[in-house]
Amino acid sequence: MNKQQILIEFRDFSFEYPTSENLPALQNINLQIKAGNLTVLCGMSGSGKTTLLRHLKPELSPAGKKTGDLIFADSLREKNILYNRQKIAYVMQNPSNQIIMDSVWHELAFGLENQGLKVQEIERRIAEIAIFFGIETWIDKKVAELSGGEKQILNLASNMILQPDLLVLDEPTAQLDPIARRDFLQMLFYIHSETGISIVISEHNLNDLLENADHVFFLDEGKLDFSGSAIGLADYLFSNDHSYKTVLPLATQISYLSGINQITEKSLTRPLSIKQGRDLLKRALLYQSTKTLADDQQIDINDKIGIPGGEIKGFSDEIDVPDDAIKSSNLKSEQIEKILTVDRVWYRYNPDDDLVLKETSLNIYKNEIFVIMGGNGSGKSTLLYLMSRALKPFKGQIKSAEQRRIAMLGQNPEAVFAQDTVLQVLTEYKQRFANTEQEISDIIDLFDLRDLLQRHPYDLSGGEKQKLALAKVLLIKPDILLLDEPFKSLDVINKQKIKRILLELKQKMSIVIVTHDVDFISEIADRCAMIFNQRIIAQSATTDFFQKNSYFTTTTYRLTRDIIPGCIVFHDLQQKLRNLTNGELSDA
Amino acid sequence: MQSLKDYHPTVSLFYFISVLTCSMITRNPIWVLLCLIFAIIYVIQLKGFKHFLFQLIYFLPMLIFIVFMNSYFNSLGLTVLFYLGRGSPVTVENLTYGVISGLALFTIFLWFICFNLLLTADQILAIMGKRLPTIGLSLAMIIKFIPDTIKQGREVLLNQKAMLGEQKLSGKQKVKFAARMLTVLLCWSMENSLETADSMLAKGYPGKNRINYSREHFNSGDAGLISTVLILFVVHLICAFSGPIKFAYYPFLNWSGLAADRILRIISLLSLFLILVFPLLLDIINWFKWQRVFKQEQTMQKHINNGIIVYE
Repeated sequence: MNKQQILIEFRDFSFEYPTSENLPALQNINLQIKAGNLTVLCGMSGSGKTTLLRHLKPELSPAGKKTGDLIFADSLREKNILYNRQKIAYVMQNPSNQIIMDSVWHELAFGLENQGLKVQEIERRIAEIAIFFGIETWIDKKVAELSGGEKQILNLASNMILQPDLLVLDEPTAQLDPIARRDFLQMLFYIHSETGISIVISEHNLNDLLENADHVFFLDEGKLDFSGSAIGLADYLFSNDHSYKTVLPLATQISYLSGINQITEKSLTRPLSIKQGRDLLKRALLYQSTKTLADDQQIDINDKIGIPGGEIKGFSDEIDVPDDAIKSSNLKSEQIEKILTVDRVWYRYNPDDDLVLKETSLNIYKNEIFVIMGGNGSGKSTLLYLMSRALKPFKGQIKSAEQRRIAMLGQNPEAVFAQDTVLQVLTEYKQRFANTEQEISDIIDLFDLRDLLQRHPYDLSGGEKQKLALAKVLLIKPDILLLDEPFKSLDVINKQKIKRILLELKQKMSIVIVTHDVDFISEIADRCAMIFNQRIIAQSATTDFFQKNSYFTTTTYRLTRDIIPGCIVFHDLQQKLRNLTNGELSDA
Repeated sequence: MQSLKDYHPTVSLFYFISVLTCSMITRNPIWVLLCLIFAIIYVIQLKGFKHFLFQLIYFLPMLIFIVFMNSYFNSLGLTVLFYLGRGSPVTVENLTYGVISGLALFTIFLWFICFNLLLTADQILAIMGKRLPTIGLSLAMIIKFIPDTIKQGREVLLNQKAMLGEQKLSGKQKVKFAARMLTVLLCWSMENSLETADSMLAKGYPGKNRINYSREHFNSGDAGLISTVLILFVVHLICAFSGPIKFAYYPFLNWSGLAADRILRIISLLSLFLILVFPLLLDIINWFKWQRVFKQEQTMQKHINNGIIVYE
């Protein structure tokens, strides 16, 4: 056993916010952060992740009642400096708000200026970090010209330039799109492997992260529930049937499905990445088929990996289209009422700007969930604003039936909060939209806002803000609901809740959603469209849409493509595997 | 060529301060015309003749307007040429004054074009940060803050419209609506700046020994240029104000400065000329330097082409 140095240790640590009437934010935490590790801190929103992380950075540690010990290693303390400012770096969630200065080089220099370094030293460090991070090409740019992903990379760089021993990141990718998230995480892993720096990161999306984690902590309601390896966490969550298990990477989740679990237990490892997951699936199917072909014959299954799934007995290439997808593709027929038509719309923000949308057409039908996907800056949000009538197209038309009320909720819920309490936010348009007390009360219960009514909207967590904004928009009683990235800051439990609510709302209204969250949306969408190069490129029923794509598609489909055909969402895969094992049982 | 750009921004700053002061202190036609000619040459040198013509198109109507206004409202001057409308006299004096004032304005305008091109906001910030660190820091933060806030303001407005759908508002409601939008924006950006403050703390602000880093390096060459400009400038001011600069337009055109000492007149004009020609001189010197290197390279190339490589 190699002994790693302990950087920070919590001993029976508890913390209570001065204003909270509820339980302490952290209760009896005992944990050690070890040098050189990439430590992942996970848990539901509101489980105390941020509170814990802020205690790792003394300048930012919140005020409140602390009991127990919090011990920093000597190496983290500078002799004459009260706080360990050069030794611990802290990256937060919002890419723009963390940036202090106006231009990239100036932002990089900021921390070094505070340390009062010599000019030559500052220049050397800037050059070094710019080359290491590959940002020399935009070092002269103003930060306002950067994209969100670039801003977050800059935040990482401007912290790393201080040469810290410990890097703390609080949900750094929560506001990034999947591509920017991938780039950011790759950069982070690169830094970790190149410099051996200790990293503590909290995230609510564990994909791509767990496979690189050295240690995982799982917080639940302010208590440390689990500490150990990523696979250990998976075992713990599944053996306790914890609701958080759905956050685990899909590849890990399938390894617990009946019929596959036995195989995984034999090989003693569980998959964390897509590739490992595919290997496991292949092995599992092979195992099943060899079992039925020759009952007791010993076959080394490892030799047969690589046989395409299509050849394996028990599956046909025929694609099963789920019932609801057929229903939704029928939507195109004339009998179903069109509720909104976007007819060859062109748009640009200013006369001299490039086009944002070019001859874009689409129809929204009654009682459907329509999803628009696409890259950053592809015009998705603009299209939504156009549909809401907040923007006017300069060419083309947007038509909707008379008396249809359209309401939209943008990406940032803060933009619709003008009051001091949650209750006031909800009752702002009470008269205008004739909301009865009953309606408001129902909505409050639907979104679990009852306990928060007297709080200031800005004091809510990201997920709670999102729910509040959604509640406010629903009180407008729209016929068409337009949502821009509504799942961005929601955790799994809230996502499932919103999913149920949206499916229920579908009976009463049409819903158009713009999102990057392919996996989640594939479970609820009736039709999907992709926007690229200012136009709607593909537009079809959900199943069809994701089956035609090989890269821009759901994780389940990427996992099972050519192995078990026709699985778009996790549920499909479960169904298929159940059929398989049942079939075998009846055969036997 | 923009040789001034190769030096520390304080050189450009001092240069423009002196040249602007020189262009503004007097309405003496000789001084004004001298400044104008060099301003024109410098603009052409920096941005090309086309750009200058373009500026001229804008300026000419303005010049006519200034001359007209001056002659219309100002009835001073003895040499009456003709009368405008209800009897306001147009005299040689007020006409000349109008033209010279207009040209002086144009000169300053042209200097600002050059100034804008040679000194970026970043450089002004760098100069500022050295002398007034807190203001420099605040300015940099404001420059970052403004585009963010504009973007957020736009988002608030769009979101509000998008949430409520189309609505017709009366005047009073409009004011109320605008006030509400402003509240949302203020709350939001204040909330965001809390995070910025946290980020500053996390990076060790203010720090005991905080310094101000700028990418510009000040060296002895810069100091030499600045002192040259400053000496010329002071000499010019002293000589010019001791007499030769004086010029009266009313009641009749009279260069009273002619009475001043001839040597003073020559020194002040010479120093002005040197100040004005200064950036062009730098360009010319650099051009010759470059020519020499270029020629050397060419001969070298010739040797290589002939198959002879000469090591010197």
